[in-house]
Amino acid sequence: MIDLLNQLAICIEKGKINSQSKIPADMAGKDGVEELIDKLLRLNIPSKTIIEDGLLKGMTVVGEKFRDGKLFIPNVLFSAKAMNHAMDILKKQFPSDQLQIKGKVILATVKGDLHNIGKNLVKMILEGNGWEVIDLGVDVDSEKIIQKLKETDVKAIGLSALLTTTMLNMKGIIEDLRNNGIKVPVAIGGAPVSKKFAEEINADFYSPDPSGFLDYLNNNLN
Amino acid sequence: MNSEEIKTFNFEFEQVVRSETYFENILLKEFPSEIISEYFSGLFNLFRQKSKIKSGYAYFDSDDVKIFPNTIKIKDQTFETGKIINRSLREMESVFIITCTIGEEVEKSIWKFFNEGDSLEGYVLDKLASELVELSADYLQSIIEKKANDSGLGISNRFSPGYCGWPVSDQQKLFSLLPDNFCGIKLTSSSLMIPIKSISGIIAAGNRVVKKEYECEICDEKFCYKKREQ
Ligand code: B12
Repeated sequence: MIDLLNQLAICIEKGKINSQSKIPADMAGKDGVEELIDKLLRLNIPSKTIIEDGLLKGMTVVGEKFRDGKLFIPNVLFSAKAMNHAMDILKKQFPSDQLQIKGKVILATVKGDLHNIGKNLVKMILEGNGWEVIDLGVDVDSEKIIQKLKETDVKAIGLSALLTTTMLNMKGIIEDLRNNGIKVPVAIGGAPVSKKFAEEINADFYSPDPSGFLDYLNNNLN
Repeated sequence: MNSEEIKTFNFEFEQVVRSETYFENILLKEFPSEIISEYFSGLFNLFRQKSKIKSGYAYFDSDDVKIFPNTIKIKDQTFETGKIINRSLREMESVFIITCTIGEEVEKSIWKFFNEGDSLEGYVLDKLASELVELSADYLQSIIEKKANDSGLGISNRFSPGYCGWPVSDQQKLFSLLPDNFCGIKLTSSSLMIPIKSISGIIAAGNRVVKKEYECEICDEKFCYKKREQ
């Protein structure tokens, strides 16, 4: 069984969906996520074990290698695809199971900005590593965030922007949150954002990439 | 050429993308070849179908253009282009303001992919789309170059607000010199162009203007990607 779980972790890392999938080339014809989960379920292994000791283990390796520059965005995308596929199978098998999460994180592209891709990548990495992401979308103002915070318990907020003109709106959002007595930590990111800017506007954290944010969440808020 | 001459173009995909394998080659930098043809061929078709390339320019001649050490003036608008860009504009006599977009259809497809959990396709299409806007601007630039050369003028590289120290907020002034909804592009109060896959800029023209390489080594902008890549 441990062997199967290890194989599953490797399939997640390599993005191997089933035996027919062509990715990666050196695993052609071998079992993928589909076959391995099927075998594990036949052995009556609980979904929790499959997730924690197989899927999440694979995603952790992906996160670490991405952070260290050993894997690139496309690899992460293939892993995320395999991960989604695996979760779909498990959800179908156990529709009532509450899948264990580490906590909830709000992500938003700030007011005045519509750039989506950076935020979406952050979302993928966080979700793949066991965090639930509440994606508020683009052009988001402080009101929308405050409203969401009233409805649900959130561990952190991540704000994204593309331009120097739109990143300025991060400042107002953080001010509004603090003026409303909200202490949830705010992380910021996006091409024009820097550590210096984060300090200037009293953001709690800055990272040039999603894995830095993930480490921050795992180490401080898990 | 007359001052304030305005022209718009609809480019065909094939006009702008000269080589059939151009986008495959771009993806080869990130994806193994065996999957590109199989995995992304449908995506290439969608991309081609959804791209609606529009571009255009407004030309301002020497009566409307002035250059200062750190700024340039076009009609009544003063642009904070900065000294890095101005070094390449020194001989400028007249100027083309340019914009280019591939429309919002591609954008919608990208969003759709992400919303449906197909991040891989969303990411790849986004990448292709950004590349196509740049190619379209290259093509527009070649048309402008030819036109200028025919009148005995040389042209500079293109420079965009948000690069080389020129603030993005100057987009407001740039667009004030263009007709409303030029090429179907709208500028928000936060200086974002919609559709997102759009670019803007200027190209200088003049008897003694020549294209120079971008001068990244004299720029101290830390976040610029041109610099990051060096
Ligand atoms: C591709 C690109 C374009 C494309 C498409 C843009 C798009 N949004 O789709 C095109 C060619 C259309 C374009 C146009 C323009 N661009 Co542009 N563009 C880029 C480029 C090269 C890459 C952006 C990108 O998609 N990256 C990929 C994604 C995945 O990265 P990302 O969004 O940065 O997100 C990553 C991280 O930042 C981080 N992250 C993001 N959000 C968050 C949030 C949190 C909480 C955390 C922790 C992390 C995090 O994680 C992500 C994954 O690693 C950047 C330079 C660069 N290398 O960043 C310039 C850049 C963003 N562009 C810039 C500019 C100026 C422009 C224009 C204004 C130029 C012009 N005048 O035409 C226009 C504006 C367009 C508009 N609609 O208004 C500037 C912006 C800086 C500034 N001065 O404001 C940049 C930084 C280039 C530069 N000068 O250095 N652009």
